[in-house]
Amino acid sequence: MIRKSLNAGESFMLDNKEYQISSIKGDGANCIVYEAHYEDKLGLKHKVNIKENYPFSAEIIRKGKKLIWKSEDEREQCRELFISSYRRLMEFQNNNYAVKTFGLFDCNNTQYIVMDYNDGVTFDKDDASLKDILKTIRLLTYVVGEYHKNGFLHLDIKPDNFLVYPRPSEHIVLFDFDTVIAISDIKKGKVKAISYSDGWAAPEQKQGLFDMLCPATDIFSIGAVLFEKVMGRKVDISDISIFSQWDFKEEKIKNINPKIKRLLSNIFRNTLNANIARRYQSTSELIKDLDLAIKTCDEIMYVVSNVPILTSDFIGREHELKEISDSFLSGYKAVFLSGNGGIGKSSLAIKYARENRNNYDAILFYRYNNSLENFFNEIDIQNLSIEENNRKKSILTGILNSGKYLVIVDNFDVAVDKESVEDILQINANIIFTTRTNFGDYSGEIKQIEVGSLSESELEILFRNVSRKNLIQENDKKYLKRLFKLVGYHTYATELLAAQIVASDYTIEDLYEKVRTGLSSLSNSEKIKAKKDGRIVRDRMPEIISAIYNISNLSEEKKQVLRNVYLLNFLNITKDIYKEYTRCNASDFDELNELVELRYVMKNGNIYSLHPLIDELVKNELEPNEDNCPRIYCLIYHKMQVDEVLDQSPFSYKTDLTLFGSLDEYIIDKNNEFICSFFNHVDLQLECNISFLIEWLYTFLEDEYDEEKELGIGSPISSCFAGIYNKLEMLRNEKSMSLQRIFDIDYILFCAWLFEFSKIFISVDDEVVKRYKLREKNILKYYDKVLDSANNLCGDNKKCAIDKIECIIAYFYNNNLIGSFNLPDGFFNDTKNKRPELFEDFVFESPNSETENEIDDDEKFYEKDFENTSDKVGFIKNLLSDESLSPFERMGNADSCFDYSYSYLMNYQNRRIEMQDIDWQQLKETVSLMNSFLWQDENEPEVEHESEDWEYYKETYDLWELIIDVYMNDPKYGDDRINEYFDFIFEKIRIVSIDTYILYDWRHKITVRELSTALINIGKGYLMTKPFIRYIEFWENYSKKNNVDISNFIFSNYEDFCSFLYYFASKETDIPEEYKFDYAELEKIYRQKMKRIANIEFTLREESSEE
Amino acid sequence: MEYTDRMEELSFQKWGVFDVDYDNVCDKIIEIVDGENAFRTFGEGLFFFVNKKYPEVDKENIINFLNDVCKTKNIPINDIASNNTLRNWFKKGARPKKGDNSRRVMFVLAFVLDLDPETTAQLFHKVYMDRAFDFRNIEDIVYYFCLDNKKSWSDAKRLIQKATLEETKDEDDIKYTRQIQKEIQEIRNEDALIAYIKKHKRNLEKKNVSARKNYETILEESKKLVKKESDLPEYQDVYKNCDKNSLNFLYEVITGQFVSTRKGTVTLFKNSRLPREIKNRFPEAISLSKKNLTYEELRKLIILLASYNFWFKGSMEQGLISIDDYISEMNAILIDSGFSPMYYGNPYDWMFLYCSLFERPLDTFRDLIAEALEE
Repeated sequence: MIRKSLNAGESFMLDNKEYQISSIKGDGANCIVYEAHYEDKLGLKHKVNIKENYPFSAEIIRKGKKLIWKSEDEREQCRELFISSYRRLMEFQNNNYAVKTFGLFDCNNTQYIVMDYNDGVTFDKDDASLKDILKTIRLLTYVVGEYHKNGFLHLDIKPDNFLVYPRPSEHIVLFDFDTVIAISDIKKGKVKAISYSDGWAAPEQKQGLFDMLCPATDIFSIGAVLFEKVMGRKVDISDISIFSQWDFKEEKIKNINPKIKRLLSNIFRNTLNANIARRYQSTSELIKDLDLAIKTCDEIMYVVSNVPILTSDFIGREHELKEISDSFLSGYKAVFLSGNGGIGKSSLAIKYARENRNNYDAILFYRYNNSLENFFNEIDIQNLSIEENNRKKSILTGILNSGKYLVIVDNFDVAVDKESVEDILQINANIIFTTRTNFGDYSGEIKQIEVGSLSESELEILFRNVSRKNLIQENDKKYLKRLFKLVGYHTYATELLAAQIVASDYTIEDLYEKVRTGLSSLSNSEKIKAKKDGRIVRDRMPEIISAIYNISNLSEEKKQVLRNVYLLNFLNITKDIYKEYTRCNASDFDELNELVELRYVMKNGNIYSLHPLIDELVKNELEPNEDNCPRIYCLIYHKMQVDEVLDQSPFSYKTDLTLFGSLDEYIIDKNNEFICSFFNHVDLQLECNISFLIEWLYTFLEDEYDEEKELGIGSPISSCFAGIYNKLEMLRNEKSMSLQRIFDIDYILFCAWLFEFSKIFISVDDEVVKRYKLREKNILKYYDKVLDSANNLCGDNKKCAIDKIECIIAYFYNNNLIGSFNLPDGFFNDTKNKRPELFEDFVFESPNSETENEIDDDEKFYEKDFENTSDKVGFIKNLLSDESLSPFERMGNADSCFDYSYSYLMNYQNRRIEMQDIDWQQLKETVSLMNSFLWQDENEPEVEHESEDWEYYKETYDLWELIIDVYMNDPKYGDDRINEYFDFIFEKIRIVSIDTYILYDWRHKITVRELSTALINIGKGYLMTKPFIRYIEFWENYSKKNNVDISNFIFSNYEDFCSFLYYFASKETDIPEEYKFDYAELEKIYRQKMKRIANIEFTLREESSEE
Repeated sequence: MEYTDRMEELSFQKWGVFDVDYDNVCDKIIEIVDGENAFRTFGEGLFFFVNKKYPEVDKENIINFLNDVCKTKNIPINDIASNNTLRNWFKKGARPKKGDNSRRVMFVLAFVLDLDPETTAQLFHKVYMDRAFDFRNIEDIVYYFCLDNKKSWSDAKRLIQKATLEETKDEDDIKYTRQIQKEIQEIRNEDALIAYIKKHKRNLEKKNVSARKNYETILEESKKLVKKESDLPEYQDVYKNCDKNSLNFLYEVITGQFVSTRKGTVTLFKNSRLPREIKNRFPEAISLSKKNLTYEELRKLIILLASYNFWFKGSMEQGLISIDDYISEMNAILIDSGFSPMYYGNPYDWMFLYCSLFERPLDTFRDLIAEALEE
C-alpha cells in the first residue's frame, strides 16, 4: 500500500490549536513526521514537529485528511503500539537528550504526537571534523549510557535516529523510541521480536538471540555509527573480527596524528567485535577511550613513521623476532641487536617494525650519525613552528612519552664507553639499537640479542631469491655450501654472491671455482648493485665487502693486532698463545678486546679467531708478512726447526729448512689438518717455506696416506689441501722455479688427482661418468706434466722420477680394468685407444697388494664365456660342480660371472638395451642356483676364515651383491628374508654425516645419494620397490631417533623416485605385466612417509618434462 | 534437544579432561559421528518436532497421526510422502533427498503441524539440514506470509499461483535478502503481498547478493593468507613450484592436499573415510571456480574459507583466541550472508566446530583430511 501523507498547507485541530503542515520531515515504518506550525494568541508562529501514526504495513486509505483502516481491530492494535512508543518517549522526558513532546492526540481517525521543533540535522547529514565527530559520539554514548542506567536498551542507534545541533552547542536529541526495550523484559524472556537496522545492528540482534541482548549491543551500534562517519562506509564482515585492522587511508583521517589512528583502532576493535565478551561492557569504558581520542585531536604536533622499506628478501629470523617482542613485553626498554657487519641486524629491526606497526603510533628510524643527540635534530615533527624549533628535543620527548612509539637507532657502532645511551633511554618508547659492538655487559633495562648467521637452508633460500635461481641442482648445492663456508655464512656476502651470479652469468660452480682462493678474485668481475645502509652502491664485490668493515680506518695498533691474529689463526689462539707469539703488553690486549667488542675479532669462549671475510680483508689490505710481524714468524720457525745434522741457527729464518721431525707441544704431533692450515696461511713465495711444504707433502702422500684417510672433496682435510694445491698450481706457473721444484709440484698434484679418483662408487649414471671423465682428464694432464718435468731432470733423478710415475699410472689403469673401481666397461676405451702405452701390463709391488683388490687374470675367462653363452644357468652349474676347486673358490668364480650380470643389468638403462633382451628367468635361476649351492647344509665351503655359516657369507660379500641376492631370490623366501637382509644392511650402516658418507664396513663407503640411486636402479632392474620403501623407513626411524633434519636429503631423491614410479607405471615400458606394481599405491605410501618425515608435500612431474 | 546437547557436550569435553589422541583425529570424528547415532536421523528429528507439539504422539503411531492430521486439514498425505516413504523415514533412517520437491514437502509439514515461521525455520535447520525461508523465492515468501498470518496450505497454493502470474515490473534498487525479509515480515494482507512480489520480482531473482559479496571478500582474504603461509620457511620448499595465483593452490594450502595432477583437478573426498554426512558435498577444489554456486555450496565454502582465515590468523597471533571468538565471527558472517548460523547438529558445521576446540585447529583440520584420505 502506498502511504498518502498530508499536504503542505493542510491544517487540523489538536488540543484546541490549529496546526498547519509545512512539509514532510521524514517517515519511518510506522509513522510520518511533518514540520508544522501553529499561531498563538499574538499571532506568532511556533514551529513544531508532528508524528502521525500511519504504519506502512497496515491497509489504510486516506480520504481527505482522515485515515480509513481496514478493520477496527487493526486500528486498535496500531493505536496501542503508537501509545507504547509515546510512553517510552515520556519516560525520557526529563532527559535533555530526548525530543520534548507536547502530548499525544487523536484526530483524523489516527493519533498524533506533537513534538518540539528542532533545527538540528540528523547525524548522517552532519559534516563535521574528526574531533567534532568524536565529541558527538561521546555525547551519544553518554546518552545511551543513561538509558542503560535506567534499565533500557535502545537497539536502533543509527545516524538518522538522532539530531545534532549546530555547534558549538554540542547537543544531540534522540527521537525514535520504537525499539527501546527494558532490560528486565529481556531477562524475563518477554522479547520475541525486534526489528533492526542493517549496517548498525549487532550480530546477536540480527541473529535474533534476544537473551544475549545487553548494553554491549548498543555499544556495537555506537561503534558502527562512529565507523561510518570516520571511514566513509558501513561496517562489513571484515571489520568485526578479532583480527581486524584498518589502514585509515580515508581523506578525513589519513593525515592526522597517527596516535589517533591507534586509538580509533582500539575503539573499533572494542565496539565492533562479533564476540560480545570482547566489546566494552559499559558506556563508561567507551567514554574513557573517546575522551583520550578527543584529547589527542588537540595534539597538533606529532611524528609519523619513517621506516625504510625492506628491499631485499627477508629470510628466517623467527626466533630473533620473537625474542625482540618478548623482550619488550617483559619490560625491557631497549634491545641491542648485536652482530657482525652485514649479518642482517638492520633488516631484522625493520622487519620487526613492519610486523608490529599496528602496535605503535609511529616508528622512528634514525641512522646513527656521530651522536645520539642528533636523533632529536633529525626526526621531523609535523606542524612544528619555526619559533618552537629550539625546543625540539623537549617537544619530541613529550610526544614520544605520550604515546606508544618504537625508535630504531641503526648502526650504533661505537665502543661501549664512547657514548652514553642514558639520555635516549629516558624516552618512554621501545628502542632498538643495531650495532656491531658487544653491549652484553650493559645491565638493567637493556637486552642484547646476538644476531648470528642464518642457517644453510635459509642462506640457500636467500641465495635462490636474489640470484633468481628457483631450482638449484644437486651438484650446485654442494658448491653452494662451500661458498657459504667461504664467506663464513655471512648474510650480506651471500646476497652479493648471488648478485654476482646474475651480473656475471656464472654458474654456481663457476663462482665457487673463482672465489675458492679468495673473494679478491672477483676484483675483475662485473660490478654488482647492492643496497647497504639505505644507499645503493654499484661496485665490485671485494670493494663492497671492504667498505662494510673499513679496516683501513682503524688505528695502527688495531691493524697490527689484526695482522697478528691473522697469522696465528691456524692455532687455537688463547690469550696466553697470543701473548707468547706476540710478546705483547697490556695495552695490546686492550686493542684486542676492543676489536672483539667491535666484532672484528671473534671470541668463542677463550679462543680468538677471524671471520673468513675479515680474514681475507686483513690478508689483502694489511698484508701480514715477516717484515711487519717479525716476532711471530721468528717464533714459528723456531718451533718447527729440528734438524740436528745441519745445525741450523734457530733464528736464521731466511735459510732453507729441512724436513721437520717432532714438533713442539703447541703443535699437535702429526696433525695433518693443522699443518695444512698453517701452510695455507704462510707465504709460499719464500723458498724455505715451499721446500718445507713439498717435503712434508711427499711424506704425507707416500708414507702417511692409507685408505682410511678421507681425501675426497668435502672432507675437512681436503678443503685445506685444496688451498695448498691451488697455491702450488700458481707457483708452478711461475718461471722462477727450479726444474726439480716443478717436477715436485707436478708430481704432488698428479698424486692428488689419483687419490681423488680412487673413490669406490656403486652406481653409474651419466652425471657420474661425466665427473669421472673429467677427473681422468686431469690425471692425464698432470701425468703428462709430471712426465714432462721429469724428462727435464737429469741422470738418476730423471730415471727414478720416470719409473715412479709410470708405475703409478700403470697401477691405476690396471686396477680399473679388473673392476676394483667398479667403473662401467669401456670407460677407458677412449684413453686406451689414444694412449695404449698406459695400459701395458706391469708387474709391480703395490702397497695394498694384500687386499681383495688383487687381480687374478684367470677369472676374466669366466666372465667372457659367461657373457657369450646362452645357457647361463648351465654355465654356472658347471662352475659349481668343478670338484677340483674348493666350494669357496667355486662360489667365487660363479660370483664373478654373476658380477658381470649385475653390472650389465644395472647399466642397461644407460645402454638403452631393450628389456626383452634380458633373460630374466635365466638370471633368476642363476642366482637361485648360487644360493642353493651356498646354503647346502652338507656342503659347506672350506674356507680359511673364521666363520663358516651365513654370517660369514654376509661379511665377505659386497653389500651390493647382498642386495642383489635378496632381490633375485625366488619369491618363496618371502618378505621376512628381505627384511632380515635390510636389517643387516642398516645395522651395518654407520652414518658419518647426513649429507656425505655412509660407512657400512671398513672397506666401503658411499654417499647417501649413491645408496639410494643404487636401490632405485635395483628396483628398476629387478622390479622391486620394497628396497626403496624400506630405505625410507630406515631414514624415518633414524630421523626420529637422532632428532635429525633429513628433509633436504630425502627431498633430493625425489626426482629419482619419481622417475622410478613413472617407469613402473608407464605403459611404454616392456616390463612384463606381472612385474608391474601399483603406481598409485606406491605414490601414496611415499607421500605419507614424506609427510611424516619431513612434512613435505609434492606433486609428481613428468619424467620427460619439467613443470 | 538431546542430540545437539550431546554434541555440544562432546565438543566441550575438551575444556575438561579430554583424551584426544591427536594422531587420529579422523578416527575420533568418525567414532563420534558414526557411533551411537550421534547425529539423529531425519525421522527422529521429525518425530521430535511432532512430539513437542503433540505429546500424545509416539513413535509407533506417528504415521497414523500424520495421516489423520492431513485428513483434518484436507491435505492429501501424498503431498508429504507415501506411507512407505514415511515408514522409511521413521523406521529405517532414510531422509528426503535435498531439492525443491523435498523443500515443498517440509513446508507442507509445517502447515500440517500448524507451525509458525520461527519453528518452521528450526524444522528446516535442524531436521532437514538446509536453509529455511529463501526470501528471494516467491514460493518461500508466500509460505512465510501464510504461516505468519495463520493461513492454510490451500491459501498458500492459491497465492503462489497468483504471484507467479503477475507481470514483472522494473525495480531499480538492489535489495538485500534481509531487507526483503524485513519488508515481508511487515506485510499483513494478501493484496499487499502480491503487490510487493509484483514490484520486486526482478530483485527477487538476484540470488544471494550478500552471500556472494561476502564470499568474494573472504576469498580475497584467503588468497592473501595462503600466499603468506606458503612463504613460511617450513613450506617454502613444498610450494616452490606451485602457481600461487591459482585457486587450486589456495585449496591445496588450506586442506594440505595436492589436487593438481597431469589429468586436471582431482576430487578428494568421494572415496574418503569421512562420514557420509560430512563428505557429501564437502567443497572440492573445483567449487572455487564455479560461477553459479548453490546456496549450500556457498555456505559450505564460506565456512571453509572463513575458518581457514580465522585459524591461520589465530596461529600467527600470540594472544589467546577462544572458540567463542570463532563461533561469534563465523555466525556473524553467515547471518550477514543470509545463511543459518553454525549448528552442532549439522555434521559439516560440527566438524569445524570440533576442530576449533583444539589448540591448533588448522593443523587438526588438515590432519583430519589427511587421515580421511588414507586408505
